[in-house]
Amino acid sequence: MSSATDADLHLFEARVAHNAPEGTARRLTLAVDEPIDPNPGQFLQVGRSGSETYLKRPLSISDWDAARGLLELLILPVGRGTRHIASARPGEMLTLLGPLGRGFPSPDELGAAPLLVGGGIGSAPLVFLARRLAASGNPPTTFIGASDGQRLAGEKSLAGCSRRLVLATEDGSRGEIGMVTSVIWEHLDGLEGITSIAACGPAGLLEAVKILSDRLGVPAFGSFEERMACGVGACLGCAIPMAKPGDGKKYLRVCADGPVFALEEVAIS
Amino acid sequence: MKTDLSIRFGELELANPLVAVSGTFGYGFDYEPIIPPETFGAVVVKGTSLEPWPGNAPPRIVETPSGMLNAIGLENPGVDVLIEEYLPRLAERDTKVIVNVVGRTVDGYVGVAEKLDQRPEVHALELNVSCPNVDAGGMSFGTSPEAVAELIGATRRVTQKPLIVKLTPNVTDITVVARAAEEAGADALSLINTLLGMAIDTETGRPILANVVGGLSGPAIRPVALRCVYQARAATNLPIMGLGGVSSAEDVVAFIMAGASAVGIGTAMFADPRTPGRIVEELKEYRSRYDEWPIGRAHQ
Repeated sequence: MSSATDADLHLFEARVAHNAPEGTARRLTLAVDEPIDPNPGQFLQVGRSGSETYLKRPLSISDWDAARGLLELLILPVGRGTRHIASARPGEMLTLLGPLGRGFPSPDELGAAPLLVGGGIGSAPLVFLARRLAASGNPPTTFIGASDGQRLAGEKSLAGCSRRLVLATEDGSRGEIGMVTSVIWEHLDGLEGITSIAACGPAGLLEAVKILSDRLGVPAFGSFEERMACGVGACLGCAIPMAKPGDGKKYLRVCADGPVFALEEVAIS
Repeated sequence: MKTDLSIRFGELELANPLVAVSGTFGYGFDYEPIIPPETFGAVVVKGTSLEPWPGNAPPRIVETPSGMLNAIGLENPGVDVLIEEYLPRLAERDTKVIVNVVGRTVDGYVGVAEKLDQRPEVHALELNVSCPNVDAGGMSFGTSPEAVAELIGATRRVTQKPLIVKLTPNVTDITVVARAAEEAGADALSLINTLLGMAIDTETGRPILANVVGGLSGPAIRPVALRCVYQARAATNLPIMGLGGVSSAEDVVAFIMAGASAVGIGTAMFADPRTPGRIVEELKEYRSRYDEWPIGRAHQ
């Protein structure tokens, strides 16, 4: 698994180049001068001045253009913190800490035929991963779902770097009707030869992906979230239960041991 | 500007008054290279028990106005892992090392103190008396002057290290426990630990923290902490480490004026990891105003 080293930790300001709507979310494009080298699945602690909230917000990196230094965040404004960041205006500076955490396994480790599964805003980090996989010569098969078409995230970019993209909405407003994890089962015949699964979304989605990976006999990795304070592994606030506790240890840290875990590593709840 | 920020905290000569507080800075290395451990006059490492403690179920934290609640449950790998893995690394760095000691029984604390007594990497022990005392029905050691005194006496018998007692503000009169600690032979006090609080999710109707209640930290508690330091200074002659919501050099100086000779920072690092470096830089200007650190000036 890829892992950040101490030297990878940066604290820097980045200018908001664009802020555009994407369904119910906002797509923020940031111009980054700092020499960062993020991996898909890693995240940033993001702060915007004038916030009523005290702590920064952990947001996954949804895309990264290393050549131009452009970083994308797909933000669903759900609370005071994310609403404040999502309304940053072009030209404004945001404060970023990162890249943080362990991301998805490398394209080599995910193999020749990776499957990506995203739910709602959880599709955000899969865009960056799909781009890496496509660049490595193994574009993924991608399934993304949401409650409705307005909540499908990253569709356009994922279409551009996936072998095949299947959309699912619970209300049927876009793509196939139903939960993405149910829709996948209807495509099982087309998934023979899949080498791994990478997923991000709510706990229910990750649980379903775990069952699917057992059925297909392939390793599965999921990106998790939890309330976070430091983001660097110091405070132990973002605990996730281990699948197999032992030696007096029951929890891992989402921020530093994750946010991406092998689904067999953790207890999904 | 080359300014000497050193300050004497009891038996410890600190390079500057700023201290990374227990539970917010891990074992000193998580924030590298942004906050190297030598930024601080001293680093208090994570609360350490005799055996590993797994900690509480999540959610463990929740943000609150100007601060946060935490109920980590003192997760730690135990004193043996501290000695083998973390102390040697920390000893290579130019800062004083204080170990926060936790236990559920007097024997639990004593066991940790005994193991650390011969460790040259450790400059002092900080007894976290906010833990529930299993032998006293789970009531925190720190709310009972007798329990605090017993704990200090028992620990003193197994170690020559300076003993700092970290007091809880969740008492009617903090000076009663501060005096009890002084009489029992404590070398210094640190205050305050977090204030007990809770948060409720109005969608689910349930407490947000799995532990139901948690400790409040951050700027929200700073006036309470300052008041406690001021009162403890007036009530005892012990050196004091003041902490609670410290976020600026001005806050550090205010705690010093209230009577502290070391000042802890914790939660503010989560909000902005640049804060400790900025504070140390800004303290130089403050320091140049005085012939000596204005410890306890607010009492004059």
